[in-house]
Parts: sequence; C-alpha cells; structure tokens
Amino acid sequence: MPERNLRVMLASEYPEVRDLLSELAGRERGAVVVGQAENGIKATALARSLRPDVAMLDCRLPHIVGLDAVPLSRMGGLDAALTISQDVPATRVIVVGNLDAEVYGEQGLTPTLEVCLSREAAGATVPFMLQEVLPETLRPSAVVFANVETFASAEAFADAEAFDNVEAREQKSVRQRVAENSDAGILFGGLAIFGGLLLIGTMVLAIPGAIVALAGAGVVSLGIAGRIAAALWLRVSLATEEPGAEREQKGQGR
Amino acid sequence: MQVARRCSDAAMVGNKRRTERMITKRAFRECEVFQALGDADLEQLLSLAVEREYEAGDAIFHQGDVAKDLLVLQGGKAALQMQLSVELPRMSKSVTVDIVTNNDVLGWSAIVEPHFYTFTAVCLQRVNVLAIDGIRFRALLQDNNNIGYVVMNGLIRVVASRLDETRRLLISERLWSPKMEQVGGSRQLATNPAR
Repeated sequence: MPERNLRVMLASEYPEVRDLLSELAGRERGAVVVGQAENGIKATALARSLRPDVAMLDCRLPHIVGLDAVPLSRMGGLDAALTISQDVPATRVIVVGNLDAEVYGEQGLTPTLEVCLSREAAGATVPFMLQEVLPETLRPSAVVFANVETFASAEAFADAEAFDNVEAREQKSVRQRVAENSDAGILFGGLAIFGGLLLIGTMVLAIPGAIVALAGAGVVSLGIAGRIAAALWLRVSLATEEPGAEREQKGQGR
Repeated sequence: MQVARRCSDAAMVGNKRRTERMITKRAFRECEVFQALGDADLEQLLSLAVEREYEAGDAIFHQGDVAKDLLVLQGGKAALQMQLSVELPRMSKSVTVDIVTNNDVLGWSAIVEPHFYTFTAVCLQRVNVLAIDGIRFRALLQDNNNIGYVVMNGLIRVVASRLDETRRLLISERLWSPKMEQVGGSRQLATNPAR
C-alpha cells in the first residue's frame, strides 16, 4: 500500500503518555500530530473539527476529569472511540489498552528503550504501523484495539520475543523495516541521480564532439572538392594549351 | 425488554476463540468471591468451569442475553457497557460503566434472577476467563450451604464495592467544576458537599 501523509490525533490524561503516542506516530513517514486531548469530551470535539486520519486513544481516558479516589472516572476511552468512529467514519480509531501500570509500572512513568504498537489478530499478537490500519484497509468504522509493546533493550526489540506468534517473530521488527526501506530508498535514489548525471554529461560532451565531427567532415569535404576542382582545372588548362605547342615545335623543325 | 444483539455497530473487530485448558484451584483462590472456600469445595467448583479466551474487540456476552455463565477474569481487561434506551446525537449508544481486570467477577446474573445479562462485556485486550456453568452452579449453591453462603457473601462484597465506586463517580460528576482544586498533582474528590 502506498504511504501517504498521516494526520494523527492523540488522547490521554497524562502528558507523558501523549509524548509516547506522539513518538510512535512520529516514526511513520509523513505523519504529523494535529491535535491532543486530555479527556473524552475534548477528544470527540477535536476529532469532529480536525477529522484526522488516525485517532489514538488511551482506554483509561476520563470522560471529563480523572479522580484518583474514583477509579471509575477513568473509563471513557472506549466510549470516546465509539463516538468518534460513529461521527467521523473516515478516521481510524485506535484504542490502546495497556497504557497504565502494565506499561509504566506503579512507581510512575518511566522511559522505555523501545516501543511499538501491536494488535491481536487470529490468535496472534502482531506489530503494525498506522499506515496499515487506515480506513481503506479495514472495515469502515471499525475500532482497532491495540497494545503498546515495550522492550528493555534494543536486542530484545530486534528479537521481538514479546510476540507469541512464530510468523510475527520471523517478521522484521518495525524499526528494521523502516531502516531497510530507508537504505533501499537511498541506494536507488543515488543510482538514479548518478545515471541522470551521466546522461547529462554525455549529452553535454556529445554536443561539442558533434560539432568537431561536423567541422572535420566539412574540412574533408572541402579538401575533396578542392582536389576535384584542381584536377578539372588542370585538365582544362592542358586541353587549351596543346595546339599552340605543336605549331611551335613544327616551326623549329624546317 | 429490547434485546441488544450487538454492543455497537460501529465497533468491533476480531473473532471469538474458545480453548479449554486445565484449570487449577489457584485460579479460584485469587478471586475475591471464592477465596474463603476450602479445597474440597473448590474441587466441586473445578468440575463446573471451563477456560475460554477472547480477543480484543470480542463481546464476551451481550446485554439482554440469557446469563448462562458466571465468569472470572484471568487476564486482560474488559469494559462493561450499557446500551442507552434512546439514540442521542453525537454520542455512542453504548456507555462504559465499569472496567474489569484480573480476578474480577462478571456475569453474576448467572446466579441472580432474572438471569439475563444487564451489561455487554467487550474485551479491551485479549482476555482469559473461567466460565462457570450457571445452572449447575446454582444447583451446587442450593445443595451445599457452605459453598452457597461463602460465594454469596463474597459476591455481595464485590457488588457493594462496585456500588460504592459508582456512587462516588455520580457525586464527583455532580460536584465537578473547572475550579476543582488539584492536590499533590492528582485530582481528588471534593469533600465539601456544600460547594
């Protein structure tokens, strides 16, 4: 599927989570975060006004404001997702289900080395990029339920051991795919530029060469023409001088 | 009573998968409702339960369905949603009223009359549940007074806790204003009802 620009909207109560989602979106080529919301009401209003391509919502999004004494105050993520998918069908809504203690730990938000988005499909946990779940690739108005997978090290990320599906493990990691696509792009782009310069150089060099060749051909032609002219003149000259030469020779012989 | 067959037409992707695996007593011990049961009682319970797996987006059961099973969540997260009786503009027809996680019980309508699920349970992540057959469980509760008392006692504690949280949410939404104080970086429920 051809990549295109992505307009992404984020919603989470916590700025650190929004930063994480923004980082994930930033890995997509051409993606730009167009809006952020901290509760369900703002998220739905933002989606209606901005009409983004993708909206990523924390499932524990408060409807208005989250209260530590009332855990139920933070359960508006799915509701906001359903409302957005209903009101703005062109927006692909992604609900991220584990942006809480499962990812960041009870001590608070801590940075992770490597993260990616994954979703469950046919019994497998599969990493995905936002481009893959745009509206035209899935049933319209379908909500995507995703998780953020975290890896303690780059090696673990490369091994993708967090995924319980053999095919997913054999797949290249998200970062590897992005890197390889970039390398291939750079290589083919370089070759194309070199070929173009070569063609231009050839054309540039060919023009004076052609001029020189034409000039040479002209000189040769002039030479041949001159030779022919000289030969004709000599013949004509000899033809006109012969009767005079014979009378002189006869006069000398009496 | 109108039966809602789907949580939302705008919502879900994924297939329901059921797998049966060996269930251990430990799985029941970690649930608040069954914690106080002895080993012998848990053995009887084991025979009534099967393990099932649902993927993110699956509906475990729908509001209005016949409540066949009492379920204990073993892993993952699910949202309990109620269907609104009227369609409101710019608003989804389903409203989340609770989120259940590991070792929570749901579907207690399987042992409480009229035995119809009052919510729709939607998986936010891949979920493993212990499904206890409702009819056989009710028969066990009737036949074994000890199990009956312990289970109903535990269930009432769970229901009371949920009721308390729901009331606090109701109060907080009525008292909420943009001027609600922030204390220590987290927002706490205002304690002065006269505000």
